Amino acid sequence: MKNFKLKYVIVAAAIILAGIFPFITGEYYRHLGILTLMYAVLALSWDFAARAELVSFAHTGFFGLGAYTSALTFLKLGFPLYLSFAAAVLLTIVVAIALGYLTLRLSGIYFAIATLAFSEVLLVVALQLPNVTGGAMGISVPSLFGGMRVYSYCLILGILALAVVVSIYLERSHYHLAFSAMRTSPGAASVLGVNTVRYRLASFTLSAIFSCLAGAFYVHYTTTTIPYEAFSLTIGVASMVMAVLGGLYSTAGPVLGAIVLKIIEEYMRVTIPYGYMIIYGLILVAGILFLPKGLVGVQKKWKFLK
Amino acid sequence: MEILKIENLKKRFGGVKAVDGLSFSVREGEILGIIGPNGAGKSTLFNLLCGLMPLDAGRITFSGEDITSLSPHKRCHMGIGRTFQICQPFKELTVLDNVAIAAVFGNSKTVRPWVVKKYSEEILEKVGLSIKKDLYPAHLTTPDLKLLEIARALATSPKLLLLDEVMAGLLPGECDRILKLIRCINREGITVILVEHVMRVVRELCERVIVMNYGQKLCEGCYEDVAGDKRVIEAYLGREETGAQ
Ligand SMILES: Nc1ncnc2c1ncn2[C@@H]1O[C@H](COP(=O)(O)OP(=O)(O)O)[C@@H](O)[C@H]1O
Ligand SMILES: [Mg+2]
Repeated sequence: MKNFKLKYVIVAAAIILAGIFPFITGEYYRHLGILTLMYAVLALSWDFAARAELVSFAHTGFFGLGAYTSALTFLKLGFPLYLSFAAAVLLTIVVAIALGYLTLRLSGIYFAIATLAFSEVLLVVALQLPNVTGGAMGISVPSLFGGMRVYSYCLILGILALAVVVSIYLERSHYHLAFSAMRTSPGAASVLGVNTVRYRLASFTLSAIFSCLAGAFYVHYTTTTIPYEAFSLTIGVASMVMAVLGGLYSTAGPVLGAIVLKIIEEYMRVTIPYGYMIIYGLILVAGILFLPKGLVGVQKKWKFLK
Repeated sequence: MEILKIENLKKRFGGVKAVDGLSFSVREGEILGIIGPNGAGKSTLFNLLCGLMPLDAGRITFSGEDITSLSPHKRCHMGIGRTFQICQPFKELTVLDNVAIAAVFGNSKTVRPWVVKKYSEEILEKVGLSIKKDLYPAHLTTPDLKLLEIARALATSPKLLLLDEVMAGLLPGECDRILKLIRCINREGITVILVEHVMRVVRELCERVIVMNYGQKLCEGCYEDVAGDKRVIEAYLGREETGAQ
């Protein structure tokens, strides 16, 4: 009972802090906060796929797809911002379902490789269509909300809130049963009536949608991107590492993982002038070794029927 | 009335013909025994029946419908339930949730969301696992895991239940408990196909027995006829009886 109350106090404090953060800090911290929230969205989105036992590198592809679709519909078709986001999400849904169907029979490392290939193909397409995408020179868009970071912060916080709501729903509904059954034994799950194809596609598509939203946000926020950045594997790997270190199959885990790792990374970057990435890498290794279940891995499993 | 009919079923793994031209039908309400030495293809037959593996050739008709290429969850919804020879509990879920999943996904037409809990508890009550409902599978003993397999299959309200060696590795007393349970399940109108090595159980439960060997049907009949058949004694009983009992 005590733990129960403490948990809600912590969650309430976190929500309040997240809400007032941009108003009590300067531009530098606002910027850092925005990137952290974006990575929290990515880490959570990576976890959505992981819940159905999908180790995916397609997030890089969907991030870039979101960035490019949103930027191009905004620039070339004159879509307003929200419509350019919607267009990116729609395209992502179509592509994710198609890719999901094509890779239905693959699991584990084979699925990972197929999704990696998908991201690489998108990178090549972005590079090879200079008339549409600007090729290696990349694209530029006007700055989001006229450069008012507070608004950008609110937008990405809103996207994260949406991802959190989706995540909690997945965690507390029949999806939880289906996913954990599919992780243990997909065969037994299907024999007991779980349409494993549907749940696998649902998890993959939801996951793609939030990577796409993060990408769409990113390009408008930074105002410019190139294919090697928007389709950079670093994005996919970082989301995976944050989700794993924070604690898989949970809402708090990936979010916490993103916050903690982003803070550590930034602290290292400003305090250690040379080779901070090496120390950062060592911290990641130590994290995996000593916290195999992640930061929130020790919490109790949720029960469908109490 | 026949509930299941299979015709010329074939499945091979590389050079191994696991199921090789098997045909038989199952009458509604009966308990059909399937016996045969290890590697005879019994578990593979179950995998073909519930749709976990695609078959190479043949046809499966269930309740008058051709289900040959139907996916496993659809066959479950039609009324085919099964247990696994090697228990496959969902280890992240409690015993109660293990049953709930079958009720929620395998039986959503009759079990509305608000009665899932009551329904799942009733199923556990029936198999005698009520007091363990909040435990995780890691804390269950072998007989309890077998009962959980049966409970989950029952929660989908099957018309046909495929039981794959549910007595393997159990003590005689524990066998008796499951034997009674199977009899009780059958009295409620559920047709059962029982793959079993414990001959006493087959003798007591099955009106009809099919003997498999190398993926084929060796012979078929009541227990006494089959047990006296010379080919069966050669293929199976002669070598296996002392070991299996
Ligand atoms: N998934 C599989 N892959 C390859 N071979 C298999 C597979 N499943 C079963 N077999 C082979 O098929 C044959 C029949 O196996 P099985 O159906 O398990 O027999 P039983 O249940 O009667 O002991 C065996 O030779 C076994 O090695
Ligand atoms: Mg077997």
